[in-house]
Amino acid sequence: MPSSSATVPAAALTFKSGLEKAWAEAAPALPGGDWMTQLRREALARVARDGLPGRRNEWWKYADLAALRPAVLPLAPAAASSLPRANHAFGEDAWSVVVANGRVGEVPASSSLPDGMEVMRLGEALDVPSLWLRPWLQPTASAIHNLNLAFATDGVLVRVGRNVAAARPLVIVSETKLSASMAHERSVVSLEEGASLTLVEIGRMAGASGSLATSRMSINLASGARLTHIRLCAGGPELIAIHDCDVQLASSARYQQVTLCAGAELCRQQLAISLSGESASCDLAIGYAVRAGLQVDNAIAFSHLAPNTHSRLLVKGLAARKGRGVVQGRVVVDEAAQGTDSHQMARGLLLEEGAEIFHKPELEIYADDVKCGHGATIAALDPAQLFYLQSRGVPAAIATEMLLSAFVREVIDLAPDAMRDALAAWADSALFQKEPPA
Amino acid sequence: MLEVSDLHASVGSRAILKGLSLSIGPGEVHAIMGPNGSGKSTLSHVLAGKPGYTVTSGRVTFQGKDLLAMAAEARAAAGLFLAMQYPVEIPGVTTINFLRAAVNAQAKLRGEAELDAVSFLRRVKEEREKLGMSDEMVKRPVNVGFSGGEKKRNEVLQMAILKPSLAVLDETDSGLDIDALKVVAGGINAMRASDRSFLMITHYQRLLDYIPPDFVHVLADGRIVKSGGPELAHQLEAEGYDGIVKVA
Repeated sequence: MPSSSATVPAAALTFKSGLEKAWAEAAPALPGGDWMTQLRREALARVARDGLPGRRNEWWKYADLAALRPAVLPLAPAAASSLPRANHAFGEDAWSVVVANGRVGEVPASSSLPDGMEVMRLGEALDVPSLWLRPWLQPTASAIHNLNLAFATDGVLVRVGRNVAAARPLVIVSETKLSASMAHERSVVSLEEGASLTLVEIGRMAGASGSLATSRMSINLASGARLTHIRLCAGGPELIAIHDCDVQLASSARYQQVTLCAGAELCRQQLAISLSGESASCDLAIGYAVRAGLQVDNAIAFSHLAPNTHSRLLVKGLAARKGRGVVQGRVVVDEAAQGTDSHQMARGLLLEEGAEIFHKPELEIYADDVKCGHGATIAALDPAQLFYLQSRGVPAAIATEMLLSAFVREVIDLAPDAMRDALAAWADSALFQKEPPA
Repeated sequence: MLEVSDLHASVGSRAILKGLSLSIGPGEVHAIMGPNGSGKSTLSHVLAGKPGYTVTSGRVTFQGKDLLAMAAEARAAAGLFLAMQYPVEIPGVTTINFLRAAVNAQAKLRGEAELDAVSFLRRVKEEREKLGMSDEMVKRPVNVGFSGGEKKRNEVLQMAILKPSLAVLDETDSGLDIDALKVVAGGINAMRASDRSFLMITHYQRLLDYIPPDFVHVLADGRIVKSGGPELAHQLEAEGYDGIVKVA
């Protein structure tokens, strides 16, 4: 070891001192005035005290973050060059935003948005102490939330005003390329009464030397608001990506999410859905495929807090050798939530020896007039289906591809019609590594 | 077309076919009848290359080639088609995409050009209309939610599109009411040609009333114990398998 080195070797830093060092280095460039710095310090102190979640926390039973990332990394610097144009298959006319390593590029001009709709950069909005934003910038009991708050560089803020129907999708493309570093995004989407929006998030992520990225999105749907949320997420080895999404639904609000995920060293998708208004409804569908050494860990919690609320969860996952898929689905039905209708179904396909899939439903029901169902299956590819295709002349390799695409297709078919082709194309390339047709 | 000689096959340690020999010439329609457990379905599965069966001895040549050495998909591309007794449901794959994949894969395996989309769709439309199948049916996932009769129609549709030179029909009549049987038999009869052969596997005379065979064979305990013309089927219907098998 070179004795001339003045810096303390990373291994000598404790989690706490590493965290503080990383933050001290990052802080001068983080957006927000003193009020925000204060909140960040508070969040930082909580992370330093609590550490990152690990196996002792039941909600992190299958993903020991504390063990995987014992040391804190420096925040990734902003990209030197200007951001690329958004490149996606969701239509030329979509409103698009590019985020690179946690920094947001240009947002759509307000003249291109309908009256009553705003899209802003979090970094800009933090310049003034905004009352509107403050509730979403508080430390919480979650170490991930607090880590994200302490280091958040930027994010997208979306507000859609009362009864405004956004006619085109808003597409956020996040390009995250990290090397022994971290990136943290914080976004807020708020739909006022009767508003509607289709939001597409595309995460293209790659990491080296044990990187870590978090993105947190808070979604607030006022009564009668409707949000369709499409999420595509592809990571790689040497990257832990944690996507955290919390959704508040007022009465008769409707939230629909369709997610496709190709995994990462650990791709953790946590969702906390709070159905707090009567007749609120939430439909989630997740399709994933993990190759060797990759992992998708879905931790999804529904809280039914009001009468006649509805929730659905469908997860369909494939795991190849040394790939690992996890679904933890928790449903809590409050005493007040009579008439709740909730169902979750997780289906897993193990493609090879050595693949792992875990399904763990949890139900806590405190009301008596409710319908709560759950189901889980884990199986291998059906040899009878495979033979049927082969007996018609389809070679085994193509037949297998067809059956795997078909397995995930059920998730894609829950997305709006106009989006399905783009989702299927994304699944072919990111989930199944198929070459696009010439 | 097809030469089966002294075929022995087993499932696990259980011998099912015990020296079966059969010869089918071009344009011929053969029927194999036999009691439950005689090995009828095993024969169809062994011919089509279904995993789980072990051929312990014997030979099968199809158009001069060693059929047993070929993968299931190569047998299909060479012109063998098995209409299954229990067609499989495939959620997430529409019949039309399934057919397209099959037609293109077979063309590729044979070294032919793929059929263009327009010609393909036209051919599917013609054939499905003959079988009284709606457009919606071919756009649905393969066999999902289909009745027994609809599944069998779908088998015949696939056969009509793939135009095999030898079609093995495994209990195609089972689960069909009379009207459906007429439609399915009509579809099969329409495909009879001097260069196309059929091997029908059935329990009952009924199917043979609609698709008259040239040859009838009785299968018992893994071997063909008696062969004859169409009259043999009537004799079977009148006397039952017991009498015939014992005499043989």
